[in-house]
Amino acid sequence: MGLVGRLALDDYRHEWVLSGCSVLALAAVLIPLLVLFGLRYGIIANLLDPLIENPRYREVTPVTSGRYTPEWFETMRARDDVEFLVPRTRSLAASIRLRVPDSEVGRIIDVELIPSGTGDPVLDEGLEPPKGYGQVLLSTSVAERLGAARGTRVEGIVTRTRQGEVETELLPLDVAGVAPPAAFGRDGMFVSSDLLVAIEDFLDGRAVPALGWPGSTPRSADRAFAGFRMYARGLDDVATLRAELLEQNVDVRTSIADISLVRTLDRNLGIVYWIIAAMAIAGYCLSFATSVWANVDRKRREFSVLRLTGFRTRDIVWFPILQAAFTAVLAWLLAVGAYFAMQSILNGLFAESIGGGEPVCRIRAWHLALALLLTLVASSIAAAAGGRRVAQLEPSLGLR
Amino acid sequence: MILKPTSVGRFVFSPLGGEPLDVGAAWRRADSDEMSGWRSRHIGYVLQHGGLLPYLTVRRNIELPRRLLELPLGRVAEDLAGRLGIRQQLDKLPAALSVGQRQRAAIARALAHEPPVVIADEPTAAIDPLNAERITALLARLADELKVTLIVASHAQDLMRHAGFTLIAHQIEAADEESMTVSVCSAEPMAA
Repeated sequence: MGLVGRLALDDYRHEWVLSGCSVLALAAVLIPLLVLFGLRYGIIANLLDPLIENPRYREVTPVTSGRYTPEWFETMRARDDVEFLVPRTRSLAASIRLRVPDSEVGRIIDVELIPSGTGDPVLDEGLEPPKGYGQVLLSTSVAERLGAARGTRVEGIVTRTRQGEVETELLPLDVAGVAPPAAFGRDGMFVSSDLLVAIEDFLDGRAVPALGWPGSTPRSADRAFAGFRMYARGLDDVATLRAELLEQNVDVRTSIADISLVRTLDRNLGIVYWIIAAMAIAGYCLSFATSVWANVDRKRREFSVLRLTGFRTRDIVWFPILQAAFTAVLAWLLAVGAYFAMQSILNGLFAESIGGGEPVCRIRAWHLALALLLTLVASSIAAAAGGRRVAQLEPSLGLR
Repeated sequence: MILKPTSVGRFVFSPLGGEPLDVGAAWRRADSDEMSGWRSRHIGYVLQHGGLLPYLTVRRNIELPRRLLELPLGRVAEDLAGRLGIRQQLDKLPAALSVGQRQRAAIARALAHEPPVVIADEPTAAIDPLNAERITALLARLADELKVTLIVASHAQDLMRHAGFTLIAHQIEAADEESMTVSVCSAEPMAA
């Protein structure tokens, strides 16, 4: 194999004009395929990336209030398709008034309470979720309106009417951070489940011993919740989660329509691309196979001399296949170079107008590796016809 | 090679030395790859058209049988090329050589792996008479020096006789390629 490989390479170099033509012919097939693939991948990636990167598209929101027990949360959290799940209290009981004590602004604003916890997908990496009763994360709009930032001490004001009397409690809160704008677009405050439950209990007239707030008997620990904050693990998990919840008679709101649209576009463009690619590859294989066959026929005397010299059939068969591999590698290199040139031109022309600043044509390293593998396989299959022809050559042909 | 039902070859044998080889028997029992191995070890070929590989230099053409057998290359190519008068051509491609030089290179390649038998098929048919005489003499002398059994198929009886070969006329009556058998009706030394 080593000696045959060397001979195949020597012959390939010796006939550099024909070899070059083979390389150009294959590159001419590969370049448009790579560019088409890059465009398809780039356009779909531009549509998919926001869906993947923005956890909002993986959110599963209950439309109406329900009764979700701790066992239900435990069961749902154990599912592989659930990335994040925390209980939510009734909407009416999930708000608080907020101010910065001793502030010149003196503004008091109403904010929604958003339960958070470890692994909250809307929080940036490095932003720890709030813990206990005294720590919160503010939404960007709240932080701006109050002039608060990480480390600011704010004050929550909760008011209830119990037995005809208005009761107000002040709750000192430390701002542990400001959530990114995409996390919550309105005035909101990320809090721990403990604080959320405490506020609901207080508003319901119950005592909150942990905060020293008086009231009727506290609820038991195995209480049910009116809602939840749930995020699917991946985009494709949204549909399965939705189906599961619908089966439980839980009506939910999801971004499944947006996801389906992009997925359908991806699938349809993929089908079109692979039909074009299959036709191009089949055409190339046919033309390459006939070219290799003709080349072997032209060199049959040289092959028979090799057989006379003592090279075995199974060694000589590799000769055209190895040369096909040389062509495949060189054509791939040429095609990759040309692809990147085209990518640069296309992105320069269309990134702003079509891609919203993102490249419309792009490709990943493993795509190129796969293209090389497919090219090698297709070329080798096509060259196998030549190999078969070589195997049929008689050593005695060299003497005739 | 010998099985040519349409052609009547005249086979000229060099003075025989060493063990005779039962080619037919080996051919009958062996498969294609085994025959390849046998050929690579025991036979060197000089073809009518030279049969040099155009993409290898003369040196690498000569070394090819030794590389195939994984024999040390040493200075075999230089020595043989020197004896055949083509040392200056060693690093050239066959296309840069004259027909006579190519045939000398082919002789060097046939002898490079020191086979017991060299088969030459019309080795001088494509070259001018003067060169043909020189090459035939070289071939005979080298075969003698290297103790190689040389089988030459040729129509140039006078040339061969002049170079000291023993001429044998073979009249092939029938050949069956499938059973690898040849019926020879005469194989007598020809009269001088």
